[in-house]
Formats: sequence, structure tokens, C-alpha cells
Amino acid sequence: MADQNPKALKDLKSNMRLRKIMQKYYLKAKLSWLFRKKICWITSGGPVELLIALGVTPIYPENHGAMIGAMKMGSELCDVAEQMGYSRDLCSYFRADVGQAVTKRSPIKGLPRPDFMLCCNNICGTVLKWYEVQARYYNVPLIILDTPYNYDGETPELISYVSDQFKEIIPELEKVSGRKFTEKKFLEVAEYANEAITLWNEILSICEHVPAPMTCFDAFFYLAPIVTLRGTKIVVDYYKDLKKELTYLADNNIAPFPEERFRLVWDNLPIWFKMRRLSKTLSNYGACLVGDTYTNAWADNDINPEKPYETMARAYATIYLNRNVESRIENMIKMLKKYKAHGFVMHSNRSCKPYSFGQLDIKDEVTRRTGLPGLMIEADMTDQRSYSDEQIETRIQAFIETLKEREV
Amino acid sequence: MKEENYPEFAQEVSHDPIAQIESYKRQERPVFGYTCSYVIEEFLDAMGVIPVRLIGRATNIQAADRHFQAYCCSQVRSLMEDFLNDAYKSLDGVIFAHTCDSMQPFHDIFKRTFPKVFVKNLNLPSRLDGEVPFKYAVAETKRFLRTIEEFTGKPLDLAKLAETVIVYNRNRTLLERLYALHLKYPEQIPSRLLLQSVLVSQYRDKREANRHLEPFVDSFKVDAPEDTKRKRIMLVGNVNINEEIYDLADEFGAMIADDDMCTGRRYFSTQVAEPTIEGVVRRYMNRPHCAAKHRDNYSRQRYLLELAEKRRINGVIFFYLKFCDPHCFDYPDLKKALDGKGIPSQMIEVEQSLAPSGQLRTKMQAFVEMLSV
Repeated sequence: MADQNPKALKDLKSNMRLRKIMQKYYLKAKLSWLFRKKICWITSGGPVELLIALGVTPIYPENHGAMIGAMKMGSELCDVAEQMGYSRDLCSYFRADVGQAVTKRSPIKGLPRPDFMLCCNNICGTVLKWYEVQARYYNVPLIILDTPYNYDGETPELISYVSDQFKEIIPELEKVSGRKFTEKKFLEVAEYANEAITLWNEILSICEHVPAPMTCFDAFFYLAPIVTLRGTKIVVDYYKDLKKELTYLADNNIAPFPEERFRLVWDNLPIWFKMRRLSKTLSNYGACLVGDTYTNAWADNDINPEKPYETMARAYATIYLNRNVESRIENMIKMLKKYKAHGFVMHSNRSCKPYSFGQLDIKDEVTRRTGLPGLMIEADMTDQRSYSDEQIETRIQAFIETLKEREV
Repeated sequence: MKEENYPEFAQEVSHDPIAQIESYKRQERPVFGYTCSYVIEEFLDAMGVIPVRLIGRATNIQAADRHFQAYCCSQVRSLMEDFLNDAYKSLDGVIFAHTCDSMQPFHDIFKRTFPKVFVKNLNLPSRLDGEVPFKYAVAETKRFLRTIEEFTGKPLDLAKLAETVIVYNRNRTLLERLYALHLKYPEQIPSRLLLQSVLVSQYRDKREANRHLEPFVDSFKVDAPEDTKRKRIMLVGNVNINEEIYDLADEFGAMIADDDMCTGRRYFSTQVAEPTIEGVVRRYMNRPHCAAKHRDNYSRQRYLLELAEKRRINGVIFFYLKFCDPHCFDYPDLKKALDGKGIPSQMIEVEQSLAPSGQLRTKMQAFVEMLSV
């Protein structure tokens, strides 16, 4: 029997500590010039280990986009980009980023200007175009790590290509950062990154426990350090403590909701501006999102110090979003089993096409093979204009009815 | 022998790609459809397969809605609808190439939906700059060729490839000559004939396409002066099979003088310099590139401005099939670059459609009127 205590999760020391870590990260980034550190804008799936090893400050426009979304500033900033001629059909993270660059409006009053940019297209083709646009806007060098999509799985040609690019990119990074790359420092960073990834994986796995001590809405919040500060000791220390706190809640059956009648898995990015409302709507029905494919995308890459470039190439070229639809079907089935789920919710995200196209087939196939129902809701991660409360809540209600019928 | 009316031939072929596939099937020749102009036709051709470009023609999307959301690109949805309606049932295989976030899952979904179809993918790099992507493109091409051998049963014959390259280069030269003659003879070579001729090359065996096009371009005197009365418009965009925009340009006293379209110059520009696997791959890396690929941050801008200057373009129309992200990302900066040179431009986004549109007519008329020669 669960001991319902929503306060227990809210009161975790790790929550306040995370806020402080992120505040400090952005403050230090804004003051990078004081420390004579260069700033590099990097994509969320990019090889940040190289930047950390070079003493460069990494900045993640996607993390900033999430913040903009959560603070409900998405639409106004997207609108600025649209006025400049960017189509409303383009990714809202991109549009919001263009908007913040021009206006300096955002929850942190805009991102610090980049000295150079590093784009890895393992998450989408969108970032390639996004970074081209912003590299022109700021007139800074753009370095690209091209990671071909795994149509036929992981091929030797693909791994060699990515590995060759690492050897090519490092001297370029040295040039633009004005710092010398040392393998010793890089391996130290890689070790921290590996440790953080292992810890993050363990943290997400705590939710296998029934009842889960947190939902994926909380995981979206705890995700920030593995994305932005991977490869540093801060993340490792933070996740060690978070793991301890969450394990304590699980061991004592302390759950955030009164009832965990339906355990569900989420697919795609969060709808940042509706997290609270969606969480409340679901919990009112006794439904709880115990796992998700998005935060798990940072839980499975590993750099082997014996073969750092080859394993880093493999890790970056084969991340979740770069795998084909068949792999995504297998992954969803695995997650449903792992989290003892009763169904799944798919966010058909207008802003993330590679994540969203394929969902209709994945949904049908997963249901066919597992017998578990899926719900698809169409929205956007940052742009509030592409969201209808009534429509989505009606769909959730109908889905819950399906789940209830299956209980009988 | 009766002299052929080439424009009629081009119209007939370009309007009915499925009839072309059927005609080859009657001759018992294997035909592969390909979804993107980065699929390297020369290799398929040299291995005995006729490559035919696949461009979505369905306008009423119903069956494809079960696989793709409404915000997916029109080309993907329309092509999926065609396949679900059995329009391409005579094909022996379908070849994809890596381009964008819509074509990428299309490959996976297509493969799942049609498990009996021979489906392969040429996973060319997104980067087109330098030797590292080139080395990968060659390695990936060799991997791809091994997968094609599963169908042909024999490897690529390099002597055959050399012969094929001559045919393809000839086709490119002929199309280049047609584009140049169009500027001199806009009445006899209407704008739509540019599109139709490129589509003939994409739908027919190149040897036949050349046989029909060559006498036609030879029938014009090359030393005639270029037309100076018509306003010159350049089309920039993705794929298009709608002739209306070409006809409207002509009707309003202008012409589509050149283009940067996948169903236009991007397809035939740049010759293969060396008849080897590496030489052919090099051509695809060096040709004017699609917005989904990266050469450098300014490569498309530079290219368009040079082409506009060379052709003395008076105005540019960005003609996009809806939901084409790569092109939409490029649009504002390309527009700005054209503004900087005093070249007016307009963006027109359309769903796949073959029917005339009143809205397009109004937009074109207003645009042509505002251009000054």
C-alpha cells in the first residue's frame, strides 16, 4: 500500500539544489568573458565531453527553449521569428531561439552570445538548419558532426565516418577555442559522463517500483544536468544524492499521488507549458506517467577509454532518435514491460517531426504486440498556440475509460 | 519518317510516369522507383535497372493519414497515398536516399507497410564539405551497391558504368542547352517545357530521353539573340510537377528563365568528370545542393545570387510544397540576400495539386506586374 505524500517529493533537497546548479550554470555562462572562457552553443545530442575537456562553456539552446516553454513565453518569441519570415511550421525551439536572440527576452534575459557553434544532427535535421541560421546571425564558426540515421542499423561505414569526424573536429575546436586538447583531460571528462549516464539510468529505473516515487514530469525537470553539464563532477555528485533520496521514497512506498491505478509511458518531448495541468488531469484519474522515451535517450551512451573515438562515435551515432522505427517499436515494448505499464501516451509534437512521424505505426504495432492501448495527443513542446485544453482532456478521459474497461 | 513533335512527347511522358513504368514492364525490363535526386541513378542504370523518379501525385489524402500526421510534407503524404492506392504496383523496387526529417521516417514506414517490396536506402552524408564526408559517401555507396546486387545477382561492371556516365552527361548537356535556348526562343520553347523535359529525363531511360531531346535542341540556331522583352523569373524550391506556375509566367509576359528546383536545374547541373564510382559520387557531392544538405553557411545564398546574375533575373519565386522544413529555414536569409541585390521575391507555399488555382493566378499576376525589366 502506498503512502501518499506529494510533499515528500516536493521537499527533496535535490530540487532546491538543482535550481541552484542551473542558476549557477547560467550565471557562470553569462560571465564566461570574465573567466576568459569561450562559449559554444551545442545541440542536446552533441559531444559536450570535448567542450568540457577544452574548458569551453557549453550552452544548450534546446534547454533554454524548454525553459521558455515552461515559462509560457514560447508563443510570443515564436511570433518574433514568424514576423521575420520563418514559417510557423518550423520547430518552436528554433523559432523561440530566433526570438530570444533578437529581443533578448527570455526567463534568463536571453542566451549569452556564442563564440562558435557545434551541431550534431543525431536528433534531427532541424538542428543543422537552425545552427546555420544562428551561425549567420552571430557571424560565428559552425562545426558539424554528421551522424547518419541508422536506416540499416549500425554499419561499419557509419561508425568510421563519425569516428573520422571526431579526429577532424578536435583540431577545429582547438583553433576556435584557443585551448589545447589533451586526451588525459578528455578521458577524465568521459569518465564523469559515463558515471552520470549510469546514475541517470539507475534513477529512471527506480520508477519500476510500484508505486513510482516520481513521474516523468519530475524526470523532465531532473534531466537538465545530464544534458547541460554532462562530463563534470557536479552532475555525478548531484545524481548520487538524487538517487539516494528517490530510493528512500521507493523503499518506503512513498508516492506523489494517492492512487497509482494506471501506470503509463510517455513518448516524445514534454509539452513544457502544460506539465502541471497534464499531471493533475492524469492524477485525478489515478493515472501516472512512470516512464518516458525522452529522458531515457540520455541513459545509454558509453565511452570506452580504451577506444575513445570509436566508442564515442558509436554512442553519438546510435542515440535513440537516430534509430529507425523498428528500434523505436522494440524500445517502447521494452519500456512498457520494464515499468509494468498499462498503456502509453504519445505526444504527436508538431515541432519534432523525426520523433513524431512513425508514431502512428509504432502505436498500432505496439498495441498489436502487447495488447496495451495507446493514446495520441497532438500538441507542441513550446508553442502554446498549438494546444487545446478541451480537446486533449476529452481524449485523455476517453483513454482512461478504455483503461478502466480493461480492468474489469 | 514523320518528324516528331517533341513538346507533345514531353507533355505525354511527363504527365504519366506510371504509363512509362508499365511500358518498361511490358518489355520485361526491371524498374526501380526512387524518391530523391540524391539516389545515384547511374549505378542503378549500369546494373541493368531503369530508375524512375517518384513524385507524389495523389491530391486527396486518405489512406496515408493512417501513417502520417497532417503536418507531414505533402510529397511524402502524397507518395504514400499513391502506393497505398497501388499506383506503383509494377515497380520492382524502391530506393530512398537520406535527405530530411520527413523522408527519413518515410523509408522506415514504407518498408513496414510494404514488406514484399525490394526497398534499399543510400545513406549519403548531410555534410558535403571536404574529404571526410566524401570518403564516407564512397564507402556507403559501395555498401549500397552490395545491397543492389541482391536484386541483380551481379556486381557493378565498371565498363558499363563508364558507358552509362557518357549517356547521363549527354542528357545533362542537352537539358543545359534547352535551358539556354529557352531564353532565346521563349515562344517555341515555353517555360513549361523546361519542367516537362526534366521530368522526361527522370521518368524515361536516358538513352530514349536523349534521342527525343537532341533533334529538338539541334533544330534551333544557337547564335540567335536572347529575348529581352519578357521579365525573367527564377523558381526556387523543392519538387514540383504543377505546370501552372510556368504557364502563368508566360501568360503574363514573363518567363521562368531558370530555377533551383529538384525537378529542375538541381537535377541535371554538374557533369560527372570521371567515369568511376568515386567520380560519380563526387558529382552528387558537388552539384548545387538541396536545402537539407550542408556545404557551408552561405553556399546556397552564393549559388542563387550567381545564377540570378548570370541569367539577369528580375524576380524570384520561392515555390515550396507545404511543410518542407529545410527550404523554409533558408527562406528569410535567401530573401534578404536577394533584397540586398535589389531582386524582388515572393514565397508561395502549395499542397501537391495538379489543378489550376485562382489564388496562384492572382499572386503571379501581381508579382509579374511589379517586376521591372
